Order: sequence, then structure tokens, then C-alpha cells
Amino acid sequence: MSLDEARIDDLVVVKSINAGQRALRRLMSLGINIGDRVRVLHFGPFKGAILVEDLDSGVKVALGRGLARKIVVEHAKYN
Amino acid sequence: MQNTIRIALVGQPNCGKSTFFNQLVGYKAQTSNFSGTTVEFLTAEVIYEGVKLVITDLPGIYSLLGEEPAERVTLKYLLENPIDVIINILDSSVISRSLELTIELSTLGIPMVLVLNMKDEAEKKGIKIDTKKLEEILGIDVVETVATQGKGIDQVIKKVFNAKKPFKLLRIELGPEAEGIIKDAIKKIKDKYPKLSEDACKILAIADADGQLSILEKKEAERIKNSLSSSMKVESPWLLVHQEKHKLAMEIFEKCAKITHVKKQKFIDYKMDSIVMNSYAGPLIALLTLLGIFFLVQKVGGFLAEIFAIPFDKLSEIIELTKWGGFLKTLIQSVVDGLNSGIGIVFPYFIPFVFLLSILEDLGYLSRLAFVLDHFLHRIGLHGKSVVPFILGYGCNVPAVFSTRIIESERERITTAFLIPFIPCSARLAIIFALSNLFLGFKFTFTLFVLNIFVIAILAKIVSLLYKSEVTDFILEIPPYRIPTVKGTLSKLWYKLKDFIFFAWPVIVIGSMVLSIMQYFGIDTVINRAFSPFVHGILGINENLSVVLIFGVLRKELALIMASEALKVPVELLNTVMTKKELVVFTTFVTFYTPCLSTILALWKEIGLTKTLIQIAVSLILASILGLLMGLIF
Repeated sequence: MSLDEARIDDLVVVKSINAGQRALRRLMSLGINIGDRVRVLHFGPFKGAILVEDLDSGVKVALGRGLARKIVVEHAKYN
Repeated sequence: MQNTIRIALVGQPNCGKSTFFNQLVGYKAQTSNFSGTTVEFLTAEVIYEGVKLVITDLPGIYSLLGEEPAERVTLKYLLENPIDVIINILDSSVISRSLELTIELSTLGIPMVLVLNMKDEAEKKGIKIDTKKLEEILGIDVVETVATQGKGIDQVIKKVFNAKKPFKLLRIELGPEAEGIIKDAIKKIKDKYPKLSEDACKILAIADADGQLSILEKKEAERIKNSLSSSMKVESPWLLVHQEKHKLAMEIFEKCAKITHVKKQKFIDYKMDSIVMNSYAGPLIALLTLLGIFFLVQKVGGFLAEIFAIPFDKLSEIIELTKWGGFLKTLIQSVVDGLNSGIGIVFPYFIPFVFLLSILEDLGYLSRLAFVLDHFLHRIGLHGKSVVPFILGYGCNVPAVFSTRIIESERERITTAFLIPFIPCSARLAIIFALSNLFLGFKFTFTLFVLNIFVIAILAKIVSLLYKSEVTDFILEIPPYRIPTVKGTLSKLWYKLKDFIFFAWPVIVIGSMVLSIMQYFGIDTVINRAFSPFVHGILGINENLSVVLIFGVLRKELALIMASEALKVPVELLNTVMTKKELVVFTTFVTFYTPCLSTILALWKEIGLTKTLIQIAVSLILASILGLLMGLIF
């Protein structure tokens, strides 16, 4: 599924990022890499941004809904 | 020992670099601070034990090899300026990611000191760092600090004196075919920057293949990219560097850091975010915050203005009673008026505004506002990141224009920069608040602000329709909430005030003197008459204000005090010589018409001359239309 389909408090693992080169570089520099565990924290008003926390790098990032659609994730379990 | 040590502060955004800089600069009384020749850097000199430390605060960047303007500028600065020591500041609470920049920096071969800042926040997250181990791995000194409390700063300075060159940890192995492809490029970079090691040149060549550093020629970069991508089987050569550096950072992190308790953290942060970033409460809080700020600034400002004006009124009375000759009296009075307009009109509104803005910034609310407003801004062709420059614009348009560099997409960056001059800066806010406190009332101010935002939204939409390009993705790091420190807030306030006192205020005083000299010799009448068809004919306001509007382009603060001089009544009595309608048209016109000189120069630098001229023309036309419109309503 894509990240925008996840629900609040879901823990997911990033499988692939099918965004443009630029967005990909940006995400990775910010600390969101393939294989990272990401927790969904909030959805912005209407069809706004999504707030996620990367548990591996400890970074909180707001992502536009369009970009979230291009991030493929899989459900994971809290341990 | 050498007499001067040139230091560059490098770190990722939100790592507390500015706080660190302020602490460092405020360390000894013997400092002289000045803005760098380019606005993006702040440079300060500190004398420490007889040695001059020249410290440059570079913009916060995630990577040296990125394509954002701030990143390119930083890399260029580090490559092309003689730097003795890099102080690399890390946010310890996100250390694994922060180390990626450290690894990149270590390739430059410049002596470094590593600063693990925000030790307290890392501890909150349960992260414990073995600094000794980190020193062994990196080959440089590591100091833990809490910059907000000034902890460890002293330590850092001591380490600067014998900073060591870091080990070269990052090496990219490409295989024989790929090595052959970039051989020439490496040589070219080496010729340009002979001090760089072969490995560093290779990393730059690979990263530049994606065309983001602009060291190599475009054609060559493209050629390398294509051959590298096929021979190494990656989409983007940049990934080769990133993956290696990410792996290395994770390895170092695992060796040096321990996480003592991984709980599903229930920090106050989460609770606050669930309110502030909530779909329903979020926008409401945003609206209330902005309204609250304006209301507070108007009330506090009005109160302060009354107090601050007292000594100047007394002074004017005394001057009035003297037996000085006409010209001398006019001149002295104009100086007093100029001083008064700084202290009595601008200051009272400027101080609370800058104060509140800096608190919001430090708290971490501005980026949350970007999150909340992302959807709305998307609809008008901008995105969440435009919020920060816009809000800063209410303080001063000039830094706001420069801050548009945080926006990656060119279209959104240019659109935002183009629109910023329509945001009433604190100088114009002062005029609006002063007049609304005196004559126009809160309803007028409120309408003006709503109209202002409305106009900006419509213009943004128009620009986005005219200037079609792909909308870039919104990616923004949300920093943890941080309680602003008294020292930090005060030093920020002081920087802004200093700029005002030493730059803007003298201009206001001189402007005031020039106007009164012109009046004394009757030159202003000529100008007023020339502009009368527009100012009186079209706008319907007193033609004597023409000269004021022209001076207002220099500094918007000038407009009000000069209006009172031009019409020869104190500001409090402007309503005796101007009708309410005239005041409304004048205030609205001043709010929208042409950016001030400093903003024009900033715009010129950021978006080019043509677009700047278009912006001036658009703002003049808009100001006239909106002025007349508001005149009809009120």
C-alpha cells in the first residue's frame, strides 16, 4: 500500500519511493531511507500533508499527500 | 600561534546552530558583529586570549551534495574560502542522520571540531553517546553541549585551537569501468580545487553527475550520469554516495550510541501535536494565533507609543519657545521628528512584533503552521513552505525575500518572493496600527488585513496559472517543541533592533531633515505639483503628500512622520487636515505600493530585474485600486 493509505498510529516499513529524483534525494537526506520504520502521526486538514516519524533516524517529517502516495510501505508491528 | 583563526559553523537545520553562534559571539565582551557582505551569512569576530576568531555562521543544510540554494552556497563557500576550522554542530537527538553531513564534511580535509548539541534532548529520547569512541572513529575532538544554556561552549573554543583533520572515512568504490568514466571529471575538479583529496574530488564528481552542484559542465555531467547509471545499475549516481554515507553513519551510530529505553514515547510533544496539528483544531489555532499576535501588537504598541512620545512632545514644545532663526529651528525640529518617528511610532509596534515572532519561531510553531496550511496554499499554487517567508515578511520583507531559498521549486520560490512585498512589514504595520489606534479603528485594520491576504491569494493563483510548472513535493522537517530561552529571544531581538537603530533610524532622521529643507526652500511644492494629477486627481488625497510617498520608498517608516511634517500638524492631529477617507486611502496605498528600496534590491538579487520591475508596477496599480476601494467602503 502507499503511505497515504495508512492510518494514524500505524507503524509501517518503507519499501520503495517512486518519487522524482529530487524528492527522493530530499527524503533520504532528511533521514527517510528504504527499510526504515515509520510511524504515522497526523493527517493535515482536508487533503493536506501527513506527519510521520521515522523511528530509525528519529526524524519527524511533514510530507505532502501527493508524495505520500508515491511511497510504498508495508505494515509492521511494534516490538 | 597564528593570530587569526577562520571558523565556519556548519550543521543541519534546527541543530541549534544559531543559538550556538550567539553564545559564541556573546562569549567575550570584546566582539564586533556585522552582517556578512552577502545576507545569507552572519560573520562575527571574537577575540579569545589574544587570538582573533572570525566565525561565519553558514546556513543550515542537510547535505553538502544537495541541490537547494543553501546547500550549493555552503559547499561553494567551504571550497573557495580559506577556512582553518569547521565546527560541525549536530543535533544529538537525531545523531545518525546528522553524522551523514559530518562524513561529507570530513572528506574536505579541513580540521574539524564536532559539537554534539542538544545533549538534553538526546537524553530525553534515551540516546547515550560514547564521545570517546566517536573521537577514535572520526579522528577529531568531540564536545557535548547544550547551547541554549551555554553549556560546553567554552570547551569547544579550547578545542578549536588544536583542531585535528578528520580521518577520511568515505570512499566510493566504483569498479574499473565506472572509474574510467569519471577520471576526467575528477581531474577537472582537482585542477579547480587543488587542496581536495582524490577521494573528495571523486565524491564531488559523482554527486555532480546529477547536475546539482554545477561544478562540471552540464553536458559532461549528463554524459557521466548516463554512463555511470548503466555501468553501476543505479537510477542516480548520487545514490552511490548517499548509500555509502548512510551505511557508514549507521555503523558509527551503532558503535557509539546506545538507546537505553525504547518506549512508545508519550512525550508532551505528541500531545501538543495532536492538538496543534489536528485537522479541526489546527486551522483554528493557527487563525487565533495570528489574530492574537496582531491584537497584542496593536494594544501593546498603542500603549508604548503614548509613553515613548512624551519626551519628544516636550522637546518640541521647548524648541517652539526658543528664539532660534527659522531655518535652524526647522532643521532641529526635523531631527527631533525623525528621532520621534523611530522611537515613538516604529519602536512600540516593532518590538512586540519581533518578540512574538521570534518566540513562535523558537517554539517550533512556524513549521507546524506550514503543515496545517499546506492544503490551502496548494490550492493557490504554493505550498506549505511558503508560510515561513510570508510570516517573516510581517517582520521585515528583506530577510523574508532571502528566506524563500528554503523552497526548492523555482516557481514556488519566485512566486513567494514576488508576493512578499505585499505583506505589510513591521514598518507598515506600525503606520497601520498607529493610524488605526488614533483614527481608523480596529474594523479598518481587520478589513485591511483580510483584504491583504485575499489579494495575495488571488495574485498567487494568477501567477500559478500564468507560470505553469510541476508542483514540487512538500517535504519539511518538523522540529521538536523547544522552550525559547530568555537569552536567545533577547539576543534575536537585539540583532533586529540593532539593524533598525544603526541603519533604518538614521535614514529616517536624514529623510526628515531633507524633507524639511526642501519645504524651507519650496522644492517640495514642485514635486507635489508634478504628482498632483495622480495623488490628488486619482487617489483623491492631499497633493502635499506626493513627496511623502516618494520618500516612503526609501523606508516605509518615513511615510507617517513625513506626512505629519508635510501637512504641518503632529501625527495625533492628522485628522484635522485629512478627511477619514483620505486617511483610509493613504494607509491602504502605503500598505500595498512599491516595496521599499532594500526590498527592491533583495528582490533584484533573488528573482532578477525584470520580475522586480513587474512587481513594482503591479504593486503601484494594485495600491491605487485597493486604496480607492477602501476609500469607498470606509
